[in-house]
Amino acid sequence: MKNFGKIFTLAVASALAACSGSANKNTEKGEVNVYTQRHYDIDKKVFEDFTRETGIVVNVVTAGADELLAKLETEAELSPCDLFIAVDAGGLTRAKAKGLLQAYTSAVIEKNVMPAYRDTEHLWTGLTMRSRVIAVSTDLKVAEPKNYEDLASPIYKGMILSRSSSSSYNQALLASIIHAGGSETAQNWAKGVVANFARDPQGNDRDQIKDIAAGKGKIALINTYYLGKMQISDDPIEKSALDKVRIIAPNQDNRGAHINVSGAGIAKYAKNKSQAQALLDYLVKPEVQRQFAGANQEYTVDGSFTSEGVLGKLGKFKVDTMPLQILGEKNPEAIQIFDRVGWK
Amino acid sequence: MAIHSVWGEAPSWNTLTEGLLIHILGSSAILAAGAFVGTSIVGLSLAIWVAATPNRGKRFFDLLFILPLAVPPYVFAYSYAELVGYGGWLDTWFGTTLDIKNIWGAIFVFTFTLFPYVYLPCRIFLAQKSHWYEVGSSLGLSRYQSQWRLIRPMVLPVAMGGALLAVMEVLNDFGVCKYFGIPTLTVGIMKIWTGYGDYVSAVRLALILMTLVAVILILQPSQKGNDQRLDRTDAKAGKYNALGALFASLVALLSLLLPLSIMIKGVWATGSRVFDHSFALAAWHSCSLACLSAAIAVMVAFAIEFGLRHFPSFLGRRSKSIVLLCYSTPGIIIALGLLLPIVGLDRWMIKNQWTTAVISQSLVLPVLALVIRYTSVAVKSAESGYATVGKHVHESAESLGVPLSRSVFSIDLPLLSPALIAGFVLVFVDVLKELPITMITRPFNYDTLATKAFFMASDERLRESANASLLIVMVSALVLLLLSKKLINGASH
Repeated sequence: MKNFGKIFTLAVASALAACSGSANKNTEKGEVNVYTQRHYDIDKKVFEDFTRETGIVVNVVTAGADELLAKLETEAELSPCDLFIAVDAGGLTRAKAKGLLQAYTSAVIEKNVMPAYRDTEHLWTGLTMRSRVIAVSTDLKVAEPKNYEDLASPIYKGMILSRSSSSSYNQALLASIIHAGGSETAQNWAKGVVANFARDPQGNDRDQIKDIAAGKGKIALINTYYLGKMQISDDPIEKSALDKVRIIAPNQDNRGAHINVSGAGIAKYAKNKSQAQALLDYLVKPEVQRQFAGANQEYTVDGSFTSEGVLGKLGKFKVDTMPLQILGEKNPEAIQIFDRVGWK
Repeated sequence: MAIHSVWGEAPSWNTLTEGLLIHILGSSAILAAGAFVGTSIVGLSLAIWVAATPNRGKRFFDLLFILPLAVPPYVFAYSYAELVGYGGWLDTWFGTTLDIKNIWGAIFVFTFTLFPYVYLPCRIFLAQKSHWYEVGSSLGLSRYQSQWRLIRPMVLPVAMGGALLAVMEVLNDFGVCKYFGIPTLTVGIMKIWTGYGDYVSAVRLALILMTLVAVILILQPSQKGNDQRLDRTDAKAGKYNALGALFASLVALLSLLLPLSIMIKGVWATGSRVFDHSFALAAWHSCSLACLSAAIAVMVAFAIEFGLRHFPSFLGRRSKSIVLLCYSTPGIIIALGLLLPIVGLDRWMIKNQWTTAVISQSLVLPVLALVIRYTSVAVKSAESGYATVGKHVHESAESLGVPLSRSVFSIDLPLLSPALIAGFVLVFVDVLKELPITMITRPFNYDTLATKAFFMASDERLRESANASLLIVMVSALVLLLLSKKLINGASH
């Protein structure tokens, strides 16, 4: 019985403490509530800098884009969310399609964000850019692939390593291929790649590089963002794995390498609209963009392609300029194709 | 939500039925069966072995074999992927790598993270049945013979109940299966929802999942079924003990020492850089949330079992089935399903100008959702507690004229306390590592250890994420240390 008393007291105490904990708000200059899918340390620092500069407090909930969208949708006009941030165009497009965003643009945004990286109706704005490139083993005996399309060629039979089709990165890539060549071409491509798999899809982006190093396959797709993170990692295993691959920016003789953005839009029912607008403007400022590029190994969205580390070494390359909202629109079809061709 | 899913428009349902569904169901079934067998064998053999060890060692072993529950399965999976993959210890020492990222690897992961679900109830059961050894010796059986012949058949249904909880956890898993590339129902639910934006098909899949679990629950043996059956297989007493010790060490190595060493290695390399005051705050959030949810879950569980024992009714049993079903519902669906009525309540209260504060943005929401999700764990625990208490106890209390209101405190609670504490510990540890509900229902700026660990891991920064994971294990160890003595010893009195 004593135990129950103790547990009960502890529970009540923690309940009281937990409630009091969330009430420390300094809202003199107002606050801005952010639902974000970006869970990076640099974002936390950037938000702190913003608060220091403007006095506006930034409150954050981090979760997956679709979880946040479902929450926004359910909360409707009662939603506390002012700014919605997602890490790919798919999430942003779905937010737009569900009518959860409101239009906003400004001189700062127009100056610092290329039109291709913004929604045509100003419902969302790109914040950072990443590309999906090809990594090949340094001891690849056959000709290196030059385009995404080449990966379906039978000369790479048993060589290709991939993560599963539930990865949004693979979905967006296939969406861009559907846009470039039509559904049938895209499906044949996916079928060809599946026929070339060295093993069933598994793991994350970095695992594919490690598996090339371990000799399990020769070719993989990886996001530039992870590539950069592997390069600056203090884990010797990641660096040594990276030494065993060469990076190829694909489709340089035609449409350019596939890219995607993380981006933000003002929530439809934002209660702190002007603060949210101030934060959005702040996030696309050149000095903040440089921080994203440096600390988080992403590309800026002004088209200058400024990045540091390994991404600087990779140099400037041609990127696909297709309107990114199409990635979101074609995403369901991409999954259908993956399921049809048995890309697990 | 269910009605909506049956009648609503489900754009991706056709692709699903094109053959993918069979595939998804097949891999879910293999995984569930593997985990069921794996956790049963490991959990039950350990419980029997520990029950026969000298009393002084028992508490240590209990701690050792309950603690793996505190390692989130996806963290365990990441650790092993590193251990046997490129540049891992296997590679460094033996020059070879092992492919663990497949369905067999997943069965391994779930077996060694979830076997405590079987171990704990079996241990409590065995501690309460220790007098059977005396019965055995009066029949001329050795200690191990009586264990094998008398006690094992009785404990089997208890083990199966625990293994079913493990199976439900497996069916609900997202992290491990996604990482290993296994298309299970939950992975399918998330893919359809996040990829197609097709909530309706996702809920329909979730309904299939719930139906499956309902079937499992119906098939579950009753706690008394096999009492009379004695197994005639002979046991080699002396050898069994040594083998048992070897087996126990192997389990401890695989389930705890290896993954913990990978975590410690990660903390060693990154701790000074990653660890800051926000960890203390996250730890506090985790503990208070887990404590509160577990306490409420245990109270609800006791109320349900108490009610069923004293006022058995059809309605009561059905409501218990609903509670058990909630455990099989993906957390994210519970969270969103709960958000809708609570936002409705908020809207109504604001309209009537009762309040401006909003429940949907307070801690009430996560606590309620977590209680709904995990009460079944406490219920299972309380149920196995009541299974060891004969009805005659209540009858004699009644004949002595003790009113029910008093016997709650003087009979039911004391007799059940080990089982309820076990329930508390299980729910506490579960909430500590829980992700989808916490993530989506938490208020602003409310990090927990699990969300911290997850975001770093999902960013493929495994060594950094080890800091939060290790803290989860340490907090769980502390709670277990505080309660484990009461837990098992209380049961034997």
